[in-house]
Amino acid sequence: MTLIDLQPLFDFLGRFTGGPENALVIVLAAVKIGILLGHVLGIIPLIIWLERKIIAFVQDRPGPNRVGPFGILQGIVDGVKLLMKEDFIPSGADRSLYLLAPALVLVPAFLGMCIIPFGPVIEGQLLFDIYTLFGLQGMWTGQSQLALAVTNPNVGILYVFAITSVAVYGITLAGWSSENKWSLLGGIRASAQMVSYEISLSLSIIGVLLVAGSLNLYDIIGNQDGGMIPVLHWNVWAQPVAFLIFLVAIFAETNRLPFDLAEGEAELTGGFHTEYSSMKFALFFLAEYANMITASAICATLFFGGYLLIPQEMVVNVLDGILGAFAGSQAGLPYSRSLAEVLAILGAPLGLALKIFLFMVLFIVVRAIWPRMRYDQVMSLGWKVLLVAAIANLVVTALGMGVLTWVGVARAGADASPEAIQASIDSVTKNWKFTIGIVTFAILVVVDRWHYVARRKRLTSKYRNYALVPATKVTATAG
Amino acid sequence: MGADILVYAVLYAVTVGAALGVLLNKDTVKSAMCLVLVMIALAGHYLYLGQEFVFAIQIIVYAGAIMVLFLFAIMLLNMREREVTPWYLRNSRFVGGAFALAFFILLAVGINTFGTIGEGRSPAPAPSIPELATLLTTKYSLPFLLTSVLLLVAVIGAVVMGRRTDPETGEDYLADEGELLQESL
Repeated sequence: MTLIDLQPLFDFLGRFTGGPENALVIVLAAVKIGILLGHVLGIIPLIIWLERKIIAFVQDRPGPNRVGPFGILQGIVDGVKLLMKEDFIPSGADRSLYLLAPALVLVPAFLGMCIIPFGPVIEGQLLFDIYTLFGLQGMWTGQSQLALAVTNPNVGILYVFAITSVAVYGITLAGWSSENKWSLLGGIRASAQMVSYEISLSLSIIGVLLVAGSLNLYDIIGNQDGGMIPVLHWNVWAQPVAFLIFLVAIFAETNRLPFDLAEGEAELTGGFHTEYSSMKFALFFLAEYANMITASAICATLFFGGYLLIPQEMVVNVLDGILGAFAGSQAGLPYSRSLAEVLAILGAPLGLALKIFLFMVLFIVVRAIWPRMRYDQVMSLGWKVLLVAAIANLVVTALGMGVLTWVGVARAGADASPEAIQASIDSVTKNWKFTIGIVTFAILVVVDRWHYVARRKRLTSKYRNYALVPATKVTATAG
Repeated sequence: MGADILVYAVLYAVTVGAALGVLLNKDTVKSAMCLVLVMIALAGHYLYLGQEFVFAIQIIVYAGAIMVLFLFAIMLLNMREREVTPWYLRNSRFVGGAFALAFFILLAVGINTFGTIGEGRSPAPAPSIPELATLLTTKYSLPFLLTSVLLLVAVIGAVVMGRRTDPETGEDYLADEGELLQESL
């Protein structure tokens, strides 16, 4: 059944792009980008409203409640307000860099999103049916694939590293070009903090890559699939320490409380965006939330199975049962199982959306209840705790994967074919990867207790002449 | 082929334009930002030649790490204010010009000898990441380890340079942003 014949359109576009296949790739990418961008830009005002509501709830205030039901339209009104404000450029500012900075903050925030798989790869008969629906069956080949992600490069997660490493420039330049000492300090703080935490972030992800055995995000998600309850295969069980490090590091990378020293309003009157007003300020705001969404999505993909929540076959079976019964009761209604499959695939992004939403709530709750850290605390946490823990986690994970591989080889038997050995290794590492998680987490707990007890003993002996024994040592801030 | 030429034209224009920007900008920060653009454009060349891994590493290492430190150093040292030229840089345009000419001749001879990709030579297929890892840990393990020693030396050097001694307690600590700023100004 062909709904609309798009073949002539692609034939026409193909004349400029070297073949209708190239045109199809470009158009599909544009459509996917449009869907993603539309959803993210549409959800950000709601998230800002949710943030204000949750913070108000924590602080026992009503929060925004004037515009629309429960004040839900507040974000849109705020956007209009920012658009109407005077766009101001300080006279001492470096004009070109000052104008460039907000764009440099916003672009990486959205570029990072390109790689997130929000649904499975469609291929085979189902893709042929979809192509037929748009009259493109001539372009279908056995190798055709349609990934529900804007792009699916093999280097996968390295692309995310590349994007986050470029994201520093916007904030640094914003602080520097404003010709304001508070902005400059905010920019320098932000870049130092982001560079420091990027290392722990990358090292914690490498543990996940070792477990998954691939850089490609679809492979990483596929590694977390299987069984009736995919939850049991999530990487968070295999890499709990890496997850904790990653979680802390993304708070620092997105400059959110308790790591928002770059804009600490009590010290720096707003930090790197002090001098920005109107829409340029709004761009910084937008980028912060876009970054949070990207970070949550990457976290969900790496540690929580991405878009996987309920096994796809189960959804298809349930939908097929319901729709089939409905179609059977109505005489003459054409129905095939493909419809249930398509609906199941269209529902897959909901799993990712749910996980992103939960992480956003976590971001917001932490902001509401956590005090800001001091600069030296941020640095010592990043360099002395997270980096060490990330390296230790990496070493233990590598050893654990080595042991699991050895078990897999031993299980396959001496005279097995290379394919059988590989399959055995894969199944053993997939089913027993949680043991690595237990070991790393146990080591973390033991080291933490040991460290705490030793420190407690040291401090109590040092201060035993005082009437009050301080729980933590308070050092004076230098400078 | 038409689309190829367009992509190459844009990439070359951006690379060369940004490189010129590095040289011709009086402002060190803008010069550094142009260098970032050069690095990203080079990454674009790698990507278009099908080397995804080199593309990612180029951005992470050069655009992400090294250039951030460049920018950081420029901002901390506030180079804008210091217009004094040391003696060895006074005739830099002649020395630099000579070097540029020599490098150009070298490149021209090299391209003339080995040919370019366009003339019937296709770029080498991108090695997979397991292949790269295997090479790095077997055939090239010694250079790999030596590089890591070099990096370790650099880290230790940075710690030594940043170390300050508290005059009152005699305890060692690392200088923080405020002290470094004050000392540099």
